[in-house]
Amino acid sequence: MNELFILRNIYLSDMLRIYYQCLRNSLLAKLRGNTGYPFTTCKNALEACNYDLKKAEEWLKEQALKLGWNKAYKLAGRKTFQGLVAVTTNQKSGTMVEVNCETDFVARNSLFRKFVSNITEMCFSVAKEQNHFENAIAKTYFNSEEIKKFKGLDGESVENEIALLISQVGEKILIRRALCLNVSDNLLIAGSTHPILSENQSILMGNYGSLLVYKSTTDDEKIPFIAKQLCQHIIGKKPERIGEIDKDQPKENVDNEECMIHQEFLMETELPVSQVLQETGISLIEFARFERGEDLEEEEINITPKISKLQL
Amino acid sequence: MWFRKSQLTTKLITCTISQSNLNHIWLIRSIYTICKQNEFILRKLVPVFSQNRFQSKETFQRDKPHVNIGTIGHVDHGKTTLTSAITKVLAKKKLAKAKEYEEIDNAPEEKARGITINAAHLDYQTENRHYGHTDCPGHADYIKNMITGTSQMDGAILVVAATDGCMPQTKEHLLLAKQIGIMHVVVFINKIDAADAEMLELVEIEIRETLSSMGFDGTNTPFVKGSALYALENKEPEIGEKSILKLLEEVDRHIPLPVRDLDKPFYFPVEHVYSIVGRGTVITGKVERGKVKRGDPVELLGYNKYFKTTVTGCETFHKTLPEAQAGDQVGILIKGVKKDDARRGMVLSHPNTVKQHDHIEAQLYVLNKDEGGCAVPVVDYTITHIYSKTWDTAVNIRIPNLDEREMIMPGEDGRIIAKLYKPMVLELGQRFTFRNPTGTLGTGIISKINENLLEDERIALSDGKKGLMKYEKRMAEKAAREAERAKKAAAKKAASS
Repeated sequence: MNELFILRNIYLSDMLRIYYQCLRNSLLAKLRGNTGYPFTTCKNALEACNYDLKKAEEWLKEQALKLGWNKAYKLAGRKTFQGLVAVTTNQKSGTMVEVNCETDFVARNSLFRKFVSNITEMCFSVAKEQNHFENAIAKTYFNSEEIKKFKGLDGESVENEIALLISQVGEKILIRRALCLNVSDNLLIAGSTHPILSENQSILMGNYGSLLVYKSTTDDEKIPFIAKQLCQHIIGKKPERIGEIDKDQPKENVDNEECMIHQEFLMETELPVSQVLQETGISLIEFARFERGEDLEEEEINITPKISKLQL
Repeated sequence: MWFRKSQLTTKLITCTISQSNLNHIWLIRSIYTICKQNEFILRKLVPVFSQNRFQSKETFQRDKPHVNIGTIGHVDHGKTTLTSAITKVLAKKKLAKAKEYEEIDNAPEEKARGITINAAHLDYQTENRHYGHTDCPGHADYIKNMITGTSQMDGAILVVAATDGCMPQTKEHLLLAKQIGIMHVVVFINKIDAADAEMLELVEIEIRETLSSMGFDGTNTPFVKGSALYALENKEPEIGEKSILKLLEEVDRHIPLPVRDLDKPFYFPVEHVYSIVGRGTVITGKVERGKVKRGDPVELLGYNKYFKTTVTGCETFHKTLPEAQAGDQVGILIKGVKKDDARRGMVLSHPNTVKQHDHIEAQLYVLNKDEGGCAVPVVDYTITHIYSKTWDTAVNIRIPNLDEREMIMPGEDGRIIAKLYKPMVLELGQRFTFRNPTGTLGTGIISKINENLLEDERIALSDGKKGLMKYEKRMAEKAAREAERAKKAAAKKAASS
């Protein structure tokens, strides 16, 4: 048995290496290596183009979209609980996007993350252009149907970009919602995610995200840092509303508190948020919190897949 | 025939036996009389009859070593079909109960249970081993199961469809296997009915390369090619049923048996301590690993104390035991240790096999409210209580990579550093629970043991967050001073030379 095993190793390491080298140079291997599409698709491409590598690649590029659409149609009924929430802000505008997929293996994959950061950048540019201010805040909430109609960064429609990604990872992908914010006057925006994963420094990704609109009386360097901690607090303590000191009474059990100002500050136990705000001169205006996959089950039933089938 | 039915009824009616029972007795009797004439039928029929009646549940046979394995792979590559095919093929040999695809896919226990979702719900046997089978739906799910201990895997079957080849996320699947300590993978290339020979070769090369790039032994990993669907549908046994058998053979061969607890060094967490006049100190508890007998040298450790002693006797249920083994609930008599020195939470062990530590790194899973947790995230410098084996002590939790996560939310897992207020006996892979006065915070598994705390830090620890922060600041200043001094010394040296 042992000898057989050793023999097999030698066989694998020498004979097969040469054989593998030949295989690696085969057309199918090259096409798969260059494009990353499933083997059967590559094979079909080669057959359709009479085993011409260049033509097959072009053919694939043309067909990829249709393939993606077909796959997307096939997967349309599936549920997506995993994914990422992405946040990006500068001081004056910010956006928060949720993109869903089926397993968290895909959510960890760099292809998916790249896609999410592209979508977030696109939404950010939409956010910056908003000018329908209401109390100095301009905000728009997009659902998945609305986002699909946007044009992506490279001119391709978002719908098609989704189909392309689906053809690569083979899972249903859904851009679930996006929130775009723009503020004027002396208002400021802060945002954060949890955990903080990032492709590049400006776009944060995680399982939770929050955006906060606030006002500050001082220009202290520490203010953006404190605002970011307040965003973490929103993620961690899940407040229902900001609350007003005069109207809302603190609850007896601090753990059940829904008003943000009466909650204990996440970073400093036994210190209420209201005190933090007082000490730093920050006043809260509005906040939003996204949790990946929250309340998805009810929604899924209402949104029937509206993707039409395309023939190859 | 020795009774007529009516006669029997009148005779026994006074004995308050119900009519149905009587009918039953009657039936047995009539079968008996028929069978009497033919001994062959008697031998065959009566056992079947009694088996059906009295053996409602099969007894688990513990005659083969047990191994836990699982399937990993892309959602559409046929993990569930393969699992179903394995049970079906083995059912033919009476080694498993055949399960349909739907039964596995929508196992009710997966949905019903809170914390134990996706735990092993399938078992089957080969000629040599008994297997528990787990499906891996997601990374976080599996990490959670590993931390809480609901299911472990000794090896994995990676399922890849020949038609698709490696997916972008196959890397992430292997990363998970690595993170939970699986070093042995068997690859099953599925759906070969829809692929040609060249494709198969290329898929194999691709997977071997991916395996090697992820730190697995790509060259020696066994590959089996087949079609789980054909095995289910009883088509073309060459690539159907036979490939499944080949796969199981490779799993038998390639995935090693876990070491039995009995063969490990002796380990005995102390539950209670008694003193018996004239005989000495008796400690009771359950032998966790290994075995011990009279005269064996042992160590007693815990709470920063250490005693060297000898076993002078083992007892269980008021009887002396020649040798206490893993799993036994026993009392162990030890020499020369006073009752007040021994304490619940210490560990009696084979000399030089365990040590006391108070500074650990761990993977923590924070329970959410549905699972009985506190529903608050764990933040940096949280003070709580740690429970493990029979000991417990106060602990300060630090979160190491603050840039990436400032807290661990309920329902999430994450890396933490725990500083114990007292050194305790602990080992890599040991599980523990964090509990607050208000409820359970979370559960974890020790992933790394750091150097013990210095005396100063231990004192600072008792002052909570402020104390620790002050200590850390002091240490940082000291380090900066020393770095400056070293820099100056180096500059001086450079100048003089």
